[in-house]
Amino acid sequence: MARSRQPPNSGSDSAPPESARTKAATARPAIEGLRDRVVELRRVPSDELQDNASNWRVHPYAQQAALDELLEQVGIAGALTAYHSERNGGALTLIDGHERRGHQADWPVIILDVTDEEADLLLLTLDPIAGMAAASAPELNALLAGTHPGTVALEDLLLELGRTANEESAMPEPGLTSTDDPTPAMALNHFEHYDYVVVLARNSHEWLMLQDRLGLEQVEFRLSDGRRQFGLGRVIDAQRVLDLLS
Amino acid sequence: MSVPDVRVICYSRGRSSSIAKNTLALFPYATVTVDEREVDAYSRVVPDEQLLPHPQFGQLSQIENWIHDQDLAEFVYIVADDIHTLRCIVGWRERTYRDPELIRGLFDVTAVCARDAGAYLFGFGHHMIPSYWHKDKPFCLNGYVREVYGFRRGHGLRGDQNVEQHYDVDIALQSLLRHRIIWRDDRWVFASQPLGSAAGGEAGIRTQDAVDEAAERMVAKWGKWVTVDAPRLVFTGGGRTAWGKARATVINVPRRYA
Repeated sequence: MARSRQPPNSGSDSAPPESARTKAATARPAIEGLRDRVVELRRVPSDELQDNASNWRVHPYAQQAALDELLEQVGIAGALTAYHSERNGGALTLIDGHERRGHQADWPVIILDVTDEEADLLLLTLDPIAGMAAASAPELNALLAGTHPGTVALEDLLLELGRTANEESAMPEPGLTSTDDPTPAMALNHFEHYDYVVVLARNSHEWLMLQDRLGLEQVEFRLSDGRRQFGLGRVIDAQRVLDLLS
Repeated sequence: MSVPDVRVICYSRGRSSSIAKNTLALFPYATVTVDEREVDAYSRVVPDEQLLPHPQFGQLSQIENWIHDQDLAEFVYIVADDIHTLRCIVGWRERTYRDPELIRGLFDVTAVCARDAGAYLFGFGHHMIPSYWHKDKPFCLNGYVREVYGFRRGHGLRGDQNVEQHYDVDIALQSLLRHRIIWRDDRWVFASQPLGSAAGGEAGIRTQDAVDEAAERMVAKWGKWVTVDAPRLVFTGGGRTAWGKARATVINVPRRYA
């Protein structure tokens, strides 16, 4: 089922605008021989679906709560994905939708005719490929400005979404702001820049040697060995290292 | 070899019934400072040697200035009174901790790193969701810190009594102006109760008008260096309301860092 798509920039000599290039999904060439692996869309009770033993995704509380609130507010609005797994005795086995299946319902399920190996590939890549999409801050901000789910987990999710996207794009945030500059000294000074090099000590010996050679004051961190569940870190000014190296 | 001179202070208001299971469970060594009128209530759950009455103040900034004036240690952490968990968001799955000794070790390490970096204000991240964590930016030098944050002796910062509701942002902007950077370790996040959901604290004081006015005052004070999106009261069903989270209170101060 190969859908015909126009190649990029067809019919025009001018380069497409940035927004068109970043949203180029509608202007890419067709893939020859694209196979349709969907054999059926059917309603299936939760308990007739098997979890995939290879499922590697875990669902933290914040995600569960956001999903629950979305289901309560909107309802079922998407299909799960499953296949008959040879490895699982032919049982209808999930590729996508493990967390949703936890809710008892007759779920719409897209059933694929893929092999176990293909299912593994889908299991590994479906979410990460979706996660590779970048955000266009103006459109996202406009959407966020008019969307107020009013429940805690979804509000948290949208908060994080807006904050992250805007930090990445360095676009102006929604909210109250100004162009005034009452404190000009806040601006960057000439050549002001903050970069760092990470030096990884792979054992305690290296760590102690490093502190000694760098002339770092020995600090006794109050952590018994059994509670050392994170690595120690120190900071040293570049000028001090440059002096030591010269 | 020296042990970092760290003191943990929690200022609390109207939460004598919950502080033991939240903040004091995580920081049992913390000094709790309360209005002298509340000492009796708190003395039932806080050991006498850890209870520090402060004079009657109307604003958080006044309490914090009073704490600064006590000059308690080289590093003074101020912790909110409704903190219940420490989360590490590095990796595929967040890890949660409630081990007081581990947290004290983290405080030591963070304070020393901040000092060595030349920062006077330091703290931990805000993002709770691992997938939103920037793996290439474990530290932030130009944001603000909240809920759990520390000051290094000699910081010279004073809470502004005209700033009632964005105190954490205001103090960070002051520090950025005076010290150029702050030190925030974004790998770690302290979780507190959602805004206004826990009794006591600011819950009974906050109104929509006050929140909006506070946002306007911040922008008037700091101009383009801050963007404030004030939280809105939202309806949660059954006629109840709750504070939605503000989408973004962002410090726009440029400090290029890796």
